[in-house]
Parts: sequence; C-alpha cells; structure tokens
Amino acid sequence: MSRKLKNRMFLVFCWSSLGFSAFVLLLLISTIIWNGFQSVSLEFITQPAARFGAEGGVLYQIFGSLLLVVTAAVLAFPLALGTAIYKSEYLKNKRIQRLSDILIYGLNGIPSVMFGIFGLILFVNVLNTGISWFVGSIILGIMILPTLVLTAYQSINSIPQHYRESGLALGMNKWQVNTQVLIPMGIHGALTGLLLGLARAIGETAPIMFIATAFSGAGIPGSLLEPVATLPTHILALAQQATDSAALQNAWGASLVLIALVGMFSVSALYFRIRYKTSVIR
Amino acid sequence: MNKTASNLKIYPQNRPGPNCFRVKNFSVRISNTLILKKLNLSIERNMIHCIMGPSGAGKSTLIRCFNRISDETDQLSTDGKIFYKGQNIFGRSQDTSELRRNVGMVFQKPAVFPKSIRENVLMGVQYHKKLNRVEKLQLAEEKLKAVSLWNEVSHRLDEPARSLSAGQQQRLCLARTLAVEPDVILLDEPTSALDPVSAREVENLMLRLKNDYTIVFVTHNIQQAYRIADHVTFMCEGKIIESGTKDQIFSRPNHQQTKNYLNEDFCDC
Repeated sequence: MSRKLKNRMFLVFCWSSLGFSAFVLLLLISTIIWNGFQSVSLEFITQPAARFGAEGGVLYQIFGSLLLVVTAAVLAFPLALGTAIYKSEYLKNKRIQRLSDILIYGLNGIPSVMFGIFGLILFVNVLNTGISWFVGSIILGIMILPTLVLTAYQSINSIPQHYRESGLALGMNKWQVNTQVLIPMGIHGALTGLLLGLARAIGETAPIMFIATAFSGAGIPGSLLEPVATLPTHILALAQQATDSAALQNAWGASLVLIALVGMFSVSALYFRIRYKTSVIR
Repeated sequence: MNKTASNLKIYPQNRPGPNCFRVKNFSVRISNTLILKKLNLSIERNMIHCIMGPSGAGKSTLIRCFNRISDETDQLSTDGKIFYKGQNIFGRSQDTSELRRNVGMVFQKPAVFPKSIRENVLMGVQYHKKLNRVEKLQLAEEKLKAVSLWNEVSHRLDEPARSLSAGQQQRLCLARTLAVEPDVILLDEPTSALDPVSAREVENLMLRLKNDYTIVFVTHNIQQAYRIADHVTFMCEGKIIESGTKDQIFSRPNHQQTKNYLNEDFCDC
C-alpha cells in the first residue's frame, strides 16, 4: 500500500470518527430540544410543579439541583485543593504516591449507584438522618472528589519548579509559597475541574434518589435534614408515568432545562480554561 | 548611574572577615551519583565571583547549595561544610528562610509571579518586614531604579508582570531579590535565556552592584566571565580545577585543562 494511500485512509478514518461522534451528540441534543421546546416557557421555569408534575413547572427542581451541587462544590473543593497540594508538594514517597493514585482512580471508577447505597446505609439508616438534601450534597461531593483532586493536582504539579524555588529563594516559607505562588497559579485549572465535576454531578440520579430527594411536596428546605426536588429525579418520575402524555411532555421539558444547566457549567469551564490559560515561562 | 549606586548603600552591614563563603571538603550526591567531589573554595566579599565551566560540571549544583535551595532537589545529599559568616549552613540549627534572606538568588529563567509589577518587587520583603504604604512605594521605586527598570515601568506598576519582556522580567526578578536586602546574590546563568542586549544590561548591573553585594555568578560563557569577573573558579566534572583572580586565570592559568577550555572551549578532564 502506498504511503499516500495510507495517509489518506487514516485521514478518512479520523474524519469519519469525528463525524460519527458529532452526529450522535447532535441527534441526542436535537431530540431533546425538539421535544422539550414545546413545554419550556417562562412559566415552566418559574412555577412549581402541580398535579404530580403533569402541570406547572420545575422551579423547585432547578433550585434543588443547584442547591445540591453548589453545596457539594463548597464541601469538596477545599478538600480537593488540600489533597492536591499535599500530593504535589509534600508527598515525596513514591510508594504512597502510587497508592494514593490507585485510591483516587478507584474512587472515580465506582458506579454512582454505589454512592447512593452507601449514603442510604451510612447516613439514612445508621446515622438516622432521614431523607436529607445535605446528605445528598455530601455524597455528590465525595463522588466528584476524584475529578477535582486530579485536575487540581495536574494544574499545581505542572507549574515549573523554578517558580517554587524563586519563592523559597526570597526567604518565603513553604506555606507562603503554596498560598501566594502555587494556588494563584493553579486555581484556574482547579476551577475548570470543579465546573466539569459539577456538570457531571448535576445530572446524576442514582446517588441522590434514595437519600436526598422527594418527588412531590418538596419546596425550599427549612433545615439540613429535609429533602429537595431535583431535575434528574423529577425526569425519572415523570418518564415512569409514560401513559400520561402531559407528564411525558414535561419530562422532555425538564430534560431540556437540565441539559441547559449542564451546558452552562461546561461552557464556563471551557471559558475558564481559555481565559486564564497560564502563560508561564518554562 | 553613580547616584543610584550610592542610593543602594543605605544598608550598612557588619561584615566579619574577608571571606563570605568558605567551602570545605564539600561533596554532593544525587541518588548515589557523586556530583561534586570534595570541593574547597573561598568566596570573597564585594566581588564578582564567576564559576565557569562546561555544562555538567556541577556549577549549578554548587551555587544552589549556597542558599540551600538544593534542599528542593530530590535525593540530594551533602557531605562536608559550607561556612557563611563563620557558621556551617548545613548545620542542624540553620534556619533556611533566614539564610535565604541574606543570600538571594536569581535563576536561569525569570519566574515572575502572576501579580502586578509592584507586587512582584515586594513579594519577598513583605514577609520579613512590616512596611506601610508609603514605604512600600519607596522601596519598589528604589529597587526598580537599582535594576534600571524604573524608567520603563514607572507608568504601569500595577500591570501584570507577565506583560514585560523576558529581559525586563529577569531584571524584575533581580529587583525582587534586592528588595529583601541580601548580603550575597547568587546568579545561576541568569542571561542564558536572554537576548544579547538584555544580557549586557544584566552584566552592567552586576558591575554596579558589586560595591554593595557579594556576587556569585555561574556561567558557561567564557567571554562573559572575562567581562565581569573579579575572581574566577573553573570547574569540570564536579571538581574545581583552578580558582584565582581573573588575570591569573585568563593570562596565566596553571592547569592544562583550564588552558584548553579557554582556548578551545572544551574540556577533557
């Protein structure tokens, strides 16, 4: 086979892969947009659900989903940043480093329903918290922790060594170098990871369906131990009433809202990555 | 130029003895490879001491030990002593932050922090000294003038330091080091990442600063050593081949290796 032909075939393969991936994505998104648009309106996103979701909107579901993931971010981000700094700056033992990698990748590989079961057993049954949105946030926080740790670690660890040494050579101690040099330089990468983690967390159903959500009657929670309504669990419940065409229609609408929220997180992550791309001299 | 130089003399220092550093039987290993082999060397005050040699000679390893930034290198172990002001800096009681306040360092590549030009100058000193707003402004101006950067940046002190050219960034790094008011400045090939004009500017700065500071300058560039050095140490393969005044090393070197290196720019030790 001639060199040129090989080259040509490889190019065709790459292009068709790209085309196929884009096609699947477009098909999915356009179906949701096509079906969802018929029910999405200003009222749909500003009114609470009525008649078990067959009428009304998804206001409390949007609120509940955002509350869960924002709290998860507040809980998980400092922990992830601390872990990443420890891993990058203090952990010198190669064996423990490898062990920590295994643990983090392992945590990342656990199916999300396991997190739900774990939360159900530990919090709801053993600690007797009942169905609580805060427990849901803790579980989501644990679930996105590996993504956050890995991106923050990558971002901090890739800062060239002479930045650390320049700080230390000015008589700064390690704490000052970490907080004044490394965190400001690495925070954008860590925030990108956070947004990607949140984009994943907001769409998750399995980890929160047993422990944090209620289908009907949940509004704005008055305490940490009350359930909330969320978009993914709402979609699940509506889709199960498939005989009711009004409910099914609203499931499409809720899906569109959810996709839009995920898209917002992803686009802001992309924006952060481009806007604050660290221009360092290597 | 003279005025700036005299401005710098506002920090009189007690300087016991003529030697600044005394290196005694000093060896360095990095993961069991012997990098520096039983070195003995004296570095005198208020001079430019150039450490010259081919790459891989151990120049950088040696200079990085003078402020113990070598601690940051993995699996590096030392043997022997380096005295600074009569005290072994590898002794147990040595506070490395304190040492680095007195022994500043500028690296091969400029590493300006993602902050404004002014904040970069004040980055180190703000942790060592309480300064009010006015003092901070004065200090920033004084140090930027000392590195001849003031005229170029005085109108944009609050702009990100990243916006400067590489040569300007390197001078900013030097200003930042001067702001801590060290006694010694270590420079590890500070001009190798710069264009020739910027490199000359840094060299001229060194010549001005040597009245007030002890300067240790690592270079692989023979011409550069000839232009600025008072004292030259020639290193090769982790050993000090020869050390002496500039005239002595360049006009009548004692060792054949030094002659070879000076004449042919290569070393067969």
